[in-house]
Amino acid sequence: MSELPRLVVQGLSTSFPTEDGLVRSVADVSFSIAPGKTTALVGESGSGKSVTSLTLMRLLPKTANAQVSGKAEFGTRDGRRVDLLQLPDDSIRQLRGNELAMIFQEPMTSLNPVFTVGEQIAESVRLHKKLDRTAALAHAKRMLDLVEIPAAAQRLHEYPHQLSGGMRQRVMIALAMACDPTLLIADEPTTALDVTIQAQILVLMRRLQAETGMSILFITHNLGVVAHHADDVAVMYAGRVVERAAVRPLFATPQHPYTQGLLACLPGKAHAAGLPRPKRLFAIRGQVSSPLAPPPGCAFEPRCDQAVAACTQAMPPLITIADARQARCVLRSAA
Amino acid sequence: MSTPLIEVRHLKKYFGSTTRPVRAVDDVSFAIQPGETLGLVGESGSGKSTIGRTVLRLIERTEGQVLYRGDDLAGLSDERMRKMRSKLQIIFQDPYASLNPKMRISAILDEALATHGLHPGRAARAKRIAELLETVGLRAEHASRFPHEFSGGQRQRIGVARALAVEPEFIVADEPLSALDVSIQSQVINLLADLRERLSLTMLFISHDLDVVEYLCDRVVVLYLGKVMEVASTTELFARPLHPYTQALLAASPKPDPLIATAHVPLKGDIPSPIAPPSGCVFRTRCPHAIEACAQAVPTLDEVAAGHQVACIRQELFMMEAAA
Amino acid sequence: MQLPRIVRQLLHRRIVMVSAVVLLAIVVLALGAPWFASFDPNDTAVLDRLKSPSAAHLMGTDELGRDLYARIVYGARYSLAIAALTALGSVVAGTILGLVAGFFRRLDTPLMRVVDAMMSFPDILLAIALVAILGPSLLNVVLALVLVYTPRVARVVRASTLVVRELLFVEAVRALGVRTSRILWRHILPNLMSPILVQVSFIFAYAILAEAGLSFLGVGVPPEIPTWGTMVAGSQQYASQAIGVVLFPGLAIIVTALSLQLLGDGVRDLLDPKLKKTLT
Repeated sequence: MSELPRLVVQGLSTSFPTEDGLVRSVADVSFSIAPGKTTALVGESGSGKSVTSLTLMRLLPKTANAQVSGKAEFGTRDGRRVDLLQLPDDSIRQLRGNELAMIFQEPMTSLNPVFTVGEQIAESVRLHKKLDRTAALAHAKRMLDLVEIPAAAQRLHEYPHQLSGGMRQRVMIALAMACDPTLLIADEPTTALDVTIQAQILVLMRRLQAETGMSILFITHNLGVVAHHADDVAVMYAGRVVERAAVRPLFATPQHPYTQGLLACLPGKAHAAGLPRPKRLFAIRGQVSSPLAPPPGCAFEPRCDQAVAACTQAMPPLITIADARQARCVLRSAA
Repeated sequence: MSTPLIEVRHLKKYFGSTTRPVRAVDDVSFAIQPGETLGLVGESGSGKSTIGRTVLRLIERTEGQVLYRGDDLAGLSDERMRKMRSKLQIIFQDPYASLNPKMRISAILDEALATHGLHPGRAARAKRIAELLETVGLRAEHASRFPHEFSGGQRQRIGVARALAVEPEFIVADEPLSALDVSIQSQVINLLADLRERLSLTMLFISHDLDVVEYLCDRVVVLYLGKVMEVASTTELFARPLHPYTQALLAASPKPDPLIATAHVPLKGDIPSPIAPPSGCVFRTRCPHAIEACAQAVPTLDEVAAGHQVACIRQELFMMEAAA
Repeated sequence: MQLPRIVRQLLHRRIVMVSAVVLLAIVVLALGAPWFASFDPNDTAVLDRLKSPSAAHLMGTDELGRDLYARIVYGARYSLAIAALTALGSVVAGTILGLVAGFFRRLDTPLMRVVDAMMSFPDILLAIALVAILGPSLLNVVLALVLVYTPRVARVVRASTLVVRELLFVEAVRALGVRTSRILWRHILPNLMSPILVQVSFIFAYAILAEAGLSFLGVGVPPEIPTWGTMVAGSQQYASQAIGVVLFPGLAIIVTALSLQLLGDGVRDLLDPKLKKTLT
């Protein structure tokens, strides 16, 4: 039973013309998400992970004059396969907030401060499910119950500023879930939350996924969260995917020097492995290059301890090195 | 036991109205020995950042004492306190906002030196600035640039250089890594660990990241809603957490290894508001082991083992488990 | 060598550019009045009175046969000088007031009450009252206008000071033990430059208009001094015979004030906290 992936992204590139030159925020990004599974997009600043999600949702500001190329094949509820990047504006609007939902990092700025929580959820439901006001509000309450907000009936009539950070993020999730999405894009949804609240939200998302079978594209820089809440991982560096693997193989045997470095420099790693505290932590030297002055070959080469001469010649392609594993490094050979 | 370098006694800091104040810090006491790194751990509303600033008198306390080498800092005149500041420094969380964008690095560091009359004379100061920059892993030529020309990690290094310029004994590190990328964090952690050893610094390390605290700190104070929940040496705390909040905190931080199972059931509910904290034990509203008695009185911080203190009336529960 | 970013951005906005050029032209004319005017502004030639613009008299003549063009150009000196001194005086006084009120909590309320009291008077009335008390002279007009505009500057500077005072790098230098006076001078003040600069340009514009208004009402500069305002005031009854006598000084006032305001708008738009880079 091989179902088609919910989303297949191929060769996605997003560039922005700026005063100082063309900035390639995302270049040649490819990954896929299976139905009911979670794919994590992992990266630090400048990796292009947020721009990737905004490009997929077609939420880039018009003033940015973004140049987008590539394909993003999405399987709709009624069985069609559409390219998200090619759809006309009204078609993408029908999908957004409906089958294709997104939650952001900062719930305070993502929620409209002048409307009650109930009204905001109801608005989405009225738009996409064509329910009337009363039915929509009732549905909104069911959504608040779904995300385990206590006293939901009362909360319906409260404003975002009356809720705590964790509550607001639950409201965002309720808003996203209101129209039964098949794909949820979560852009750093727990980064701004306290650890104990983060744990609640992650468990909630897991439960919702199990109940509805939706896929999740989880964008984060937190490897701990990835380890326990993702099925597949795509590691991004300077706008490109440098490694793709299922979560266990990635953590067990990372193939790309950047992934290896990232895992090695975590202070919790030694303790988790039961090893004594190292005198010095592993550190990836230097910092990511400016997007306006990329290195001639591999983008990670200036910081890589394993670099060889070939690394400065050309950008290595993303090759398949084993079953369901890909890496962008000259040191790894094709399967 | 020698005199602690820093001692905090029954510190309270309330903000806002007198009838319903925000109880940011509500009766916190701890001591830091010379050369020790104490970790302050907690989530929003724990009061950890407020404590850091109150210890340095960047914010004035409402009640309680902060002693430096046995002397109450609050008793110092403005001028004496100003001079004292060279001994007590701080590294801030936000490397982008902590440097004056209109000043070159050389001016920023020069000001620090000149304020306390260190290395008098332009040439001497310039030389010292070059040394400081190299100490934090930057280059002397970086001095002529402006903050916006540097990355977050580099700006944080400049912040460290500035703090070191005045030759402190004690540094409050207020979440110095939170705004940095993971790959840069380890660079700065190494820097802090190196400097601490070379310069025999005493540190108060404030963070919400337990892994970093576990790596850098000798002892840890766990805070919740302005009160101390547990105090222990790092190894003790992470091996045998005795307070339910500490246990929840440790269990909730996901370890970066998919093979380590997390059977953790997250705490229910939200962190209460510091304006209206729960009566008795402030953690009882979310505590899986709370009983009626928990609402009656604020639990005292009791020493249950050498150097290990817990504020929980049900501590025997966990002592038994820990011993088993 | 690349021009500073601000200048480059200014050059991109046409309206701001045009305003700047116009102002520059006015200033050049004013400074170089003896070279630009072929007549002495005070030379009367009654036979040539109220003539229309011609080759000899570019803007015609006023009721005493004085060359209007020369008077406008020399008048620019006085009008601009008064406005510049007003702007300078009120900005310096207002900044000191606002800085102290914004930084020292205990002085804030008393100082701001005084400011509020002064601002409760409408500008022109206050100016008229002050000139009436002090007596009409160029210096008194400047003094009166400075008193009128200082509170406005103080308010703006205080608001900005309250914000800058809380910025992290100010806390950082406090933590270093830097003296308060140095904090105010080296850290707070430079970060107030944007609103201050904007205030300078606006007050300059208001002052031009205010002086013209006061002089027109006869409670400004003494009529012997040829500012644009006194020109309009003195010649208004002859407007029906030769519109130029009020038209040209009036235009000069409008053009200068407008250019200053547009330039001020442009500068303020640029110095506003820019949109942060939203995409990494």
